[in-house]
Amino acid sequence: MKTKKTGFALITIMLCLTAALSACSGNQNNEKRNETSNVETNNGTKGGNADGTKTENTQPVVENSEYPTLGKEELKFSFYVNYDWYAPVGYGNDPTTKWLKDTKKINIEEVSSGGNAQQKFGTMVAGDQYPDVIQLDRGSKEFNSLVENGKLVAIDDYLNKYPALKELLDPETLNSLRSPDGKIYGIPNWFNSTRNPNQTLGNGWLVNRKVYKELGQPKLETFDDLYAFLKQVKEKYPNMVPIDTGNVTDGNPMLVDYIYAGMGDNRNALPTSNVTGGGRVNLETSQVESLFDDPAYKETWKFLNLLFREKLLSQDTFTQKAEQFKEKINSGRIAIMAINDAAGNGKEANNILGDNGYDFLPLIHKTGVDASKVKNAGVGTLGWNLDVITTSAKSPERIFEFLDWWASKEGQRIMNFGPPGLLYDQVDTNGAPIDNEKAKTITDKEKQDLKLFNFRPLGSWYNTIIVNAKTAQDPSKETWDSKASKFYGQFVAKEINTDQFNSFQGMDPNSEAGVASQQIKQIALKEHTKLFYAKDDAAFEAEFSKYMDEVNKAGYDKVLAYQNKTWAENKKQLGIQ
Amino acid sequence: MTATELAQARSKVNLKKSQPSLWRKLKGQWDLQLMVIPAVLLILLFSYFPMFGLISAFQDYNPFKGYFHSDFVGFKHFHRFLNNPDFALTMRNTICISLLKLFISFPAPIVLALMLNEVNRMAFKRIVQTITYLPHFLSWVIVGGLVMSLLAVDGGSVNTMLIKLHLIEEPINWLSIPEYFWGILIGTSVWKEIGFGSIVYLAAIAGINPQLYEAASVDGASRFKQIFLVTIPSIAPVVTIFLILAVGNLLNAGFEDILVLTNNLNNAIVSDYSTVIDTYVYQSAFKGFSQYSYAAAAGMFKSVINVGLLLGANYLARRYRQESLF
Repeated sequence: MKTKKTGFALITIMLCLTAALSACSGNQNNEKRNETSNVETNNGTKGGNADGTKTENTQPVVENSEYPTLGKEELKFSFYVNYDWYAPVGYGNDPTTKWLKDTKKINIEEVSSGGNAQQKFGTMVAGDQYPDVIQLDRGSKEFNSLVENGKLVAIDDYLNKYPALKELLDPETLNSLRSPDGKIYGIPNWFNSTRNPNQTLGNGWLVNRKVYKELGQPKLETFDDLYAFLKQVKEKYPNMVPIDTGNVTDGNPMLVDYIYAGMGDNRNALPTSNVTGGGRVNLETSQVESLFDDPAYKETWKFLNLLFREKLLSQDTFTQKAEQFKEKINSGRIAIMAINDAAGNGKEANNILGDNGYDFLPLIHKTGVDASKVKNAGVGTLGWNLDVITTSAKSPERIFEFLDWWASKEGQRIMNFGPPGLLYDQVDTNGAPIDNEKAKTITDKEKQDLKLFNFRPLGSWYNTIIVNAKTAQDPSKETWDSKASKFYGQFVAKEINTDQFNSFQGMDPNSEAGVASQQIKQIALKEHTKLFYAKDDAAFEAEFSKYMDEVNKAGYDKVLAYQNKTWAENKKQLGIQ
Repeated sequence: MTATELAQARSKVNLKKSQPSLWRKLKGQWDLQLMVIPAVLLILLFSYFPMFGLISAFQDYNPFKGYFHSDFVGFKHFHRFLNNPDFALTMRNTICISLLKLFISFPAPIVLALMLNEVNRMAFKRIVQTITYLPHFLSWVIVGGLVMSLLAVDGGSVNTMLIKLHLIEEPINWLSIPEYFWGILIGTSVWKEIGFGSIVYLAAIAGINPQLYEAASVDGASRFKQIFLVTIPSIAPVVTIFLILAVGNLLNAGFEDILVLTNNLNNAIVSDYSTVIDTYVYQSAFKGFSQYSYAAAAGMFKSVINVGLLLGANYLARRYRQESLF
């Protein structure tokens, strides 16, 4: 009897433990991190100190009086980022957010997506309880539904009251942001301005410096060069992954974009390189056309199939976790790759690998294609996504005040270089911090531990003004990622205004186009893997025509019709012919 | 008549004299009932109360409108589910994976318990028990990550080992060969749960009267024969109960395990073998498709069949073994 009791007690304890342990196991995947295309902007450094002379003028960090309540009254709000890969930074744990909390009395409660943003968002809607601030995709069905159901606070009145965003946002940008009722419901994040002369880009090709050198730095301009290079790598370095692609989103390996980009004339600067995104914008005919009408689309998949079946492209493409990819890149086991946020990923790997790290490369293209027409992005002033304030917020105006301040030079400086007194006490005339004694003696490791640039609730183009001004103070200290971003920036198609493609994904999920788009995503998820795994050319041809038939049958034409309509409306709004 | 026999006889008489009312019975064991309350509340809160949401299966549910203002559409979503081209495949996978689990994952802990019971060295037995039940405490996310990196092509340990042993020339893409998926899935779940599952059976075995073994050995039964003639019949009631429960879960082919082993459904090349009703529901509702009502209908379809299977298994057990859940 006694043993039975003990056994029961043990089982109870185990059950409790299981419950406790399973509660600890959240956070499924922080992948898709690289999904964001970081189109950032440069400005301001064309002037006096671009020649590298140190700025003599310094000024103390002053408090901005245009923000009446900031730092004086306590402000508390919750903040949620609607992406699977986004994990809270731990507000209050690094010097910057601790300073915000202690000095500015700003207390932000971070809400995690738990690795499944759509599920989290669905729960919020079902419970009608929203965080105070949500960061989400502009023109997404989530954003549209929040606007339609009156869950967001219009910011029009606040915009005129505070200085920074009013100054930063172009009138055309504001007009593009207007919802059908004429009001503006979101603050653009990482937005741009036509007043920017320079573009930088974080996305592009990276090559393994050591391998490339040992193989005699062969020409890597065309896909034929690439193929030959990969063959050589496979033969000489059996433990090396010849080519890898980052994460797979909705069945789309990132590499698809970069191969399609190399097929000619602005292919990756225009939407879109995948049926999951809709149709291909053809500037000549002014129509959104079926991707299947573009021979380059099939060629892209055919080339990827070739790379995959000859085991040149990582065989783990569809099975790897973001961490597995990270491990490979950070241990220098990838010979060449094309990824989003190549600047950020490359920087991290180079910090670890030193001289055996990665170098940036120009976009690789198809033989015979005019290299000057191969572009990777257009110019959009709307930026990446939106910060919206929901009606749940108790003091929406004060939240706006904080975000406006964050978009200002002071806020963007703190985001990049930490709070005053940490590594700088004074700033130059451009607003860039001037290194103090500690900044001059700090080691790289210590600097990494400060986690600067960790908390980024809002990015404005003042960010690049300050970063560039900082670089201009001493160009010899320019970081690798800054150089990479400028290098990749040459593949931005300056003449293409991507604002005209706003809301291409914004179809109502219950409309015909919405249902079709959902079905196409489901088909793509499956068919894309099958296109990769096709054993020979004949199998590929058969699979590709099956893929085409299924997508067309699912109502691809309805998606194209929606996008044509949206494009025409956007062009009218922006005054583009 | 010994004293105990007397007491037993007396209590029988007492029982007949006055059947205590239910209330009195409950009052007599108030301490036990107190312990049951949290469990009952949990079931009400998390199992019965959410059933209200099933109404969405018959609506075109719009989360902004809620259950009370969404339009009713009858059986539209059930029709769509039953007529969709993937239905046959989904059902086949669900049933095959379930049956594999029933025939492999279900008996595996019993076999382990029987084997452990034959081990005489306590220390060895304890070590084996501890090692086998530890994986149970790892979440599927961790186990999935572990399996995926073990079986990876680029530097995965399994492939590296097989190449070093000259058993294969080129790494095998384990996770992307659709035919291997069931094997990997079942193997992983057996590895994860075998130890923990065996605890119940070990407890049942510990409760067997040692006199039975002594009598059997006097009659000349070998150790091996004793397993079949004493141990297994003695734990049969426990096995039956768990079997009924397992049959009731037949269409729950698994969810987390499949999700993590397919890299959150991204590894769609195995989808012809990996899509089961639960992952299909998840995909329909939460993987960018937002078809809540459709997913609810598919989920409800599964639950109804599960209830039928459970009742069926219970009936058969009562009929042929006189043992049942209810």
